[in-house]
Amino acid sequence: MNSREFIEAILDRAGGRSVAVVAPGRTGELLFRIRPARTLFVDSMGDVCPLALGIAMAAREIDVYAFETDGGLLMNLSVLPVLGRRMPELDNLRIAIIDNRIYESSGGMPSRGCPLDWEMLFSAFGLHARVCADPEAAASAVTAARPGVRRPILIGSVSNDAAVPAAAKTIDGVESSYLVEAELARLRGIERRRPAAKS
Amino acid sequence: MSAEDLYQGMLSAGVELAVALPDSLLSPLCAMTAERGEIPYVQCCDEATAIGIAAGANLAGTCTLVLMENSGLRRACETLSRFVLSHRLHVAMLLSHRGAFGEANWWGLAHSETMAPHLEMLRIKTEHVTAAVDFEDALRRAYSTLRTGQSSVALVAERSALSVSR
Repeated sequence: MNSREFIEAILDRAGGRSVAVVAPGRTGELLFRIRPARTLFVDSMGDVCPLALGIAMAAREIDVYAFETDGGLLMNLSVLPVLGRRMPELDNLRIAIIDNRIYESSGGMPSRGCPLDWEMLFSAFGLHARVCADPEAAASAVTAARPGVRRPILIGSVSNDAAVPAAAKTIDGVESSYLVEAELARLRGIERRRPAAKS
Repeated sequence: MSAEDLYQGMLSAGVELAVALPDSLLSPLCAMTAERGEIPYVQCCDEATAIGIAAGANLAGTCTLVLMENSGLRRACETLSRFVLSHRLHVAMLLSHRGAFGEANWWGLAHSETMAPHLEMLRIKTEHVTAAVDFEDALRRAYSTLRTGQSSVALVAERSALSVSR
């Protein structure tokens, strides 16, 4: 399974009332091609899950998809305790970790030099993770998630033969945040932020 | 200024979500917020994670406040730099001023010395709060500036106002 197949297996089930938060590198470039709108493109590592958690807590009526990478999650494991505390009460947050086992954008060095048992890692914080090796497993895990069923954090074990896509995003972090902010307001049916008090 | 005063200020100013990493100076306020349940309270174990959660909630239109020690600016500096300077993902913070004049702990002094340069570097609009009567109004004004979408905001709670001696 490659990154695109994993991402598409998850987003194929996404409804219209959803936003995504996505990591940089290949993941961000693919998301821009698959889903340019309603996606918050983040350029930093380790911040995807906290951002998605904040959106999901604030907007319970909207599905929030977090696409983090192995390197990104490993950079900020401090998010795990708060995910362990909050995820059981949130049925609108879906987290997917794209695990290619390397720092691809910076040249391909390994993201860790030791074994990593993802399911055990998340289990230590009361979270259920499922490693998916093919798109069918990912799709099955997404489909199985329903009220009353513990939603797994999906770990996509991916390998990419193709080179990292060229940078094709036509928006930067600022524009992305403006677009997602407006979309969240629209989906929530709330008034948009007014940046001035005086005409 | 007591924790009760601060808490009432948060309520009156319309805080809808508190995200915190308790330090010894703000711990009474954090405990009160968590215990009373009127303002949803999310506790983190790293300031960068707190900033991330708050930025997401703020983007979704929820009036959010991060509570942390001023040293958290250093811990969260990478996340704040990316968010504030490159993404326009802003937050409102209440920072306890550890290391100010009168600090009796050797380890706290650098917290103050590094605070102002970090706030300036990150273009965070800042106000120091020294009296209970000022807090609610300062918080309201902080949210007014936050709503411009141009800047994050910080209220620095002075130790003299936090009614602590440690």
